[in-house]
Amino acid sequence: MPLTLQHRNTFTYWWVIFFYVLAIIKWWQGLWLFQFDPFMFTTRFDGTTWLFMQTGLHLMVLQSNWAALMLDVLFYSFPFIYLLFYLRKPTTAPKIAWLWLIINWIYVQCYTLYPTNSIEAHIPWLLFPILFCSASLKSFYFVMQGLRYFFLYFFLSAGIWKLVNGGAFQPAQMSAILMDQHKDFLITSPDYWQSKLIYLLISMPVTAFILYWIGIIIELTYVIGFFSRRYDRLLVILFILFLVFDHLLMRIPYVEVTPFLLPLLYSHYGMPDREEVRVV
Amino acid sequence: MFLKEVYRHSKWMFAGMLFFSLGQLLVNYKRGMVFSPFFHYGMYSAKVEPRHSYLVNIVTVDGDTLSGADYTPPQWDKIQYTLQQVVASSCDSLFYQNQILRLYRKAGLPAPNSKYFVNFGNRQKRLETYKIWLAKQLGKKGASIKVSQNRYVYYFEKFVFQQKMDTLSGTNILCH
Repeated sequence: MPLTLQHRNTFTYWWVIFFYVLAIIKWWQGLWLFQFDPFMFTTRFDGTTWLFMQTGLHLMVLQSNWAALMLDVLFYSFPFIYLLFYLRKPTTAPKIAWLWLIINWIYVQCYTLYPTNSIEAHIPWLLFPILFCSASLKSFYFVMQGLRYFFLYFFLSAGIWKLVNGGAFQPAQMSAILMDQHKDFLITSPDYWQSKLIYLLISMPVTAFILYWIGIIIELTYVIGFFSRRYDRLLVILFILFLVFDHLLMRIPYVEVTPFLLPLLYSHYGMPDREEVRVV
Repeated sequence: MFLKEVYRHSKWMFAGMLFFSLGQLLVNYKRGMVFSPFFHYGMYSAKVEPRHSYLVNIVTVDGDTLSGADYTPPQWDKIQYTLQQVVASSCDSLFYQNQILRLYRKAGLPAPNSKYFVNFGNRQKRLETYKIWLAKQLGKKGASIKVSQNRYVYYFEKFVFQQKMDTLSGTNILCH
C-alpha cells in the first residue's frame, strides 16, 4: 500500500504527541533548561560544538536563567507552531520546519553543553525537522526512509563497536560496567530493590555477561532492516525491550530516541503513487 | 536500491543523504573527534575490568547523606554527574591548550578565545556554586551541604568503605 497524505498526517500527529509526552516527563524530572539552571559547562570533543561555542550563547545561559527560559519556550513551542501551520497553511509549513530545525540545533547544542545531557541521545531533535521540511509527499517518504536507515545504522554500529573494541570478549565486562556505572547509587542506597538486583548481577558475572551479549545480539539484529522492511515491527519490539532493560539495569532512560520508532512503524507503506502537496 | 530512487527523485536530496552517510562513516573510521550530527555510537564497547577500588563522591544535606533511590535516574545524574564534572573541571584549560588550540592551528583557523571553552573561576569557587545550586535544585535554600570523597572496595558482594580522602580528585574525558 502506498504512503498517502493521511499517513503523513497521522505520522505528524504521533510525532508531536511523542514530543510533548517526553516534554512533560522532562518537566516532571526538572530537566528543562531553565529548571536545570546551569552554572558551568563541559566541552566535548565535537568540532561543530566548538564552532557553536564561539557564539557565546552558552555563556549567556549561564549568566541569566531568562535566556534558558527563552530557549525552552522556543524549543517546546515549535512542534505545536509547526502543527498549526501544517493544518492551516500547509504550503508555509515547510518554511516553519526550516526555522524549527535551526531552533532545535541551537537548543540541543546549548542544552547538551551542561552536565548529564548527551548529545547523541538528542539526535532525533536534530534530524526530524528535516523530515517536516518536505513539501511533497514523495520527499517526505524518502526522508522518512532515510531516517529509518540512520536508526538502523545507529543501533547496528553500537553492536559492531562492542565487537571491534573488545567489550564483547571480556568476560567480566558487564559486572565491571555495573560496578562503575552504579557505584554511587549502590553505596548510598544498598537496600533498594534495584540495588539488590544490580548487586546480584555483579556477583554473577557469567549471567551479567550473557545479558551484555543479548544486548549485542539485539543491536546486530538491526542489520536485517537493511535488506527487508518485513521485520520492522520485530525491530520495534526489540528496541522497546532494549529500552526497558537499559532503564532497569543501567538506569539510562533512553526515551529521547523513541521518535525513531515512527519511521520503522510506517516503513511498510510504499512509495506514493502520485505527488500530493496539499495536506488538508 | 534506495539511493538510486532518491537520485531519481531529487539530486539535492541524494547529495544530502550521500554527504550524511559519508560523514557518519568517516567519523566512525577516524574514531577520534566527532562533528555533530556525525557521531560514533560506541557506548560501553571498550573493555572494562573490575577495579581494585572506587572513588565515590558523597553529598550530605543538613547532615543526611543523599540517597540515589530517592531520585529518578536523570535527577540522580544531575546531582552526581554535575559534581563529578565540577571536580574534574580543572582540566578545562588543559583541554583548551592541548586539543582545541592544537586542532584550530592544524586547520589553519585563528585561535578562539579561551573564555568560550574554559569555565570562569577556579574549582573551589565552582564547588561552592555547586552547593548553592544543589540546595536550590532540592528546594532547600540555605541548607548546609557538604561534599566528601571516599574510597570503597568491592568485597564479598558489597561495596565496603575503605578510606575518607583528604581532597576531592577526579578526571573526565577532558583530562586526557
